[in-house]
Amino acid sequence: MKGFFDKVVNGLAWLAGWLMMAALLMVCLDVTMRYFFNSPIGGVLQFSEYVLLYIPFLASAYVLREESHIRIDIVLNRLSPGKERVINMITSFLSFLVMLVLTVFGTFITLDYYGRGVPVLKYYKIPEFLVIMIIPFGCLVFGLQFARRAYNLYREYRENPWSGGKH
Amino acid sequence: MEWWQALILLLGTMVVLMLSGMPVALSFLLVDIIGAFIFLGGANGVVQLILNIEESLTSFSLLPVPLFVFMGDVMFHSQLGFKAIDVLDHWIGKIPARLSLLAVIGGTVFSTMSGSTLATTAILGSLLVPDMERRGYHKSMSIGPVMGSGGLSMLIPPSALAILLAALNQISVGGLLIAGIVPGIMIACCYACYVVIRGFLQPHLAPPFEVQEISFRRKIRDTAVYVLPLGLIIFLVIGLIFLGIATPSESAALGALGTLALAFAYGRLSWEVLKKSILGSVKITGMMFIIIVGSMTFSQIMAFSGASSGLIQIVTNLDLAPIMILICMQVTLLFLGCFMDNLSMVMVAVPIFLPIVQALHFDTLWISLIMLINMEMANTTPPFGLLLFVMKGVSPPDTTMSQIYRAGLPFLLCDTFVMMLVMIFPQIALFLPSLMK
Repeated sequence: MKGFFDKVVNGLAWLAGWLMMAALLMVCLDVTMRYFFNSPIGGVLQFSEYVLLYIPFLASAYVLREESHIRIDIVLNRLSPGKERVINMITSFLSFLVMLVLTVFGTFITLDYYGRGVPVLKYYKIPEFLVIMIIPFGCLVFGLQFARRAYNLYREYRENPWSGGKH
Repeated sequence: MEWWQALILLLGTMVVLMLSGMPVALSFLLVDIIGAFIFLGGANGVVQLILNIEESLTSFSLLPVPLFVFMGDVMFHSQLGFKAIDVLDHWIGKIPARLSLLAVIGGTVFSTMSGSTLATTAILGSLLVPDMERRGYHKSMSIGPVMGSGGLSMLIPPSALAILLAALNQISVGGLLIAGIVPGIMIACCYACYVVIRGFLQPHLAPPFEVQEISFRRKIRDTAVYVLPLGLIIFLVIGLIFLGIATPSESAALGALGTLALAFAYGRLSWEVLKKSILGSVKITGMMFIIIVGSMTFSQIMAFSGASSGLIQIVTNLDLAPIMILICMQVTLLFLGCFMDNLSMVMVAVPIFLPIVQALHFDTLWISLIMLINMEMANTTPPFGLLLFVMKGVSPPDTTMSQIYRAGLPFLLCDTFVMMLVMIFPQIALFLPSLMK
């Protein structure tokens, strides 16, 4: 299960990366077509905007697993490793709750848009739920990664309450 | 709820959460959820929060952020431009503190091609510091110039953080990118003058050494092969925006493709380089965008709660000249920069400062550029500037953090000097954007 979740997290980060590369190539092609042939490709702007929304929500869990989210650790660094771990455990749990709230509300919005067939009225008319659904989905994966982090810290705490931990 | 109570609740919770080591993005989002419940009408407020997230990210003007970071990563992993440093070295000749000067010139050139201060500093640090140490350079003349000029990537386009700041301050992305050129070059000139004068006055800090004679013909040939092609990237990023041929997002895409093409042409583009660059830029972008989502919503909640307007009233009623208020803002940012990374610092400060800036009728582009200089300085302000730690990573093992702090100090003074000049003469920042098509 742990290995499977890691693969999902890696896969989503790669998907974000390839979406970024696709946006890069499409924008270049669009500029070239517009400048030299006066014939821009339609919908590139719309696609790129969705990529910008998808990247953080696809990649956040990966960023967290790599411990690359910015944190201010001036206070934590002055605490004993045991206390630091307890605080990290609490903040990871709080972060999980934040993601849970966003997942639940995001799912309601997505289902509502799906039920009402709300469209996006831009270059291409596409169902809005396809755009917004990445928010609850990304928050779910991000939240699960926080839950994993909190659980690992808790397990370390149970094993040896006052020693330092990895996280 | 009174505005000051709302302010204490929102800011106080934010400070406590951030100091507890919670990721900055999550601290913002938790405060946003609490604020949305209280000030935006309960559950409907949270629905609004999610719609805000969608709206704030689906903006074409943010596209340069991942692409500029990607350019820096490709440059770093493919070691593109390393040879250019050698060529620049040949041109410098027998000037006092020549390797320190090379670090400044190389840093400025790299800054015009990389949107990542980390990448530029790491490249320069790993390339030049070992050689400087070997030749007996004092730490202040080896680490300092690398760290200072590495930070220029934030000011000189392409700059990923300039894009975020422009989005947050709702100003022209192209305008802010172009506005960074002149102050960036001025800072580089200050650094160059400083290292040369210090090398002249205290030659023992940067001992002179015999330079290998290179024929003029070879210098010209090497420049044509290794330096001039890099100008293509500079043109794609800066030239196209300035000439009005492409938007900043389009220029960023063309610049990123140009960087890939050059890496390929020099035989330095491999699957490993591409893989590391893609994942590296996704990681940085993911981290930045979640923070910007939280910060943008935080500004709206501050406005809805009445905290912003309350603050504006207090500030405008103060018996202080607007320029003094501006100075106070920058001093606050400088102070915050000592304890926070530059991105978090600006994301916390902008929602509070922006309404005040608008109420005082300051030019937002000018203020944003001053903030950008401040962000650059925050990279090297002890004890927590990010570049201080990057330098520690690429410096010889015997280098202590206090040596790194001391080495960065004169360069911080150069930054402060240019920031003051930009405050006194706004045209330094605004002249080039006014010429844009």
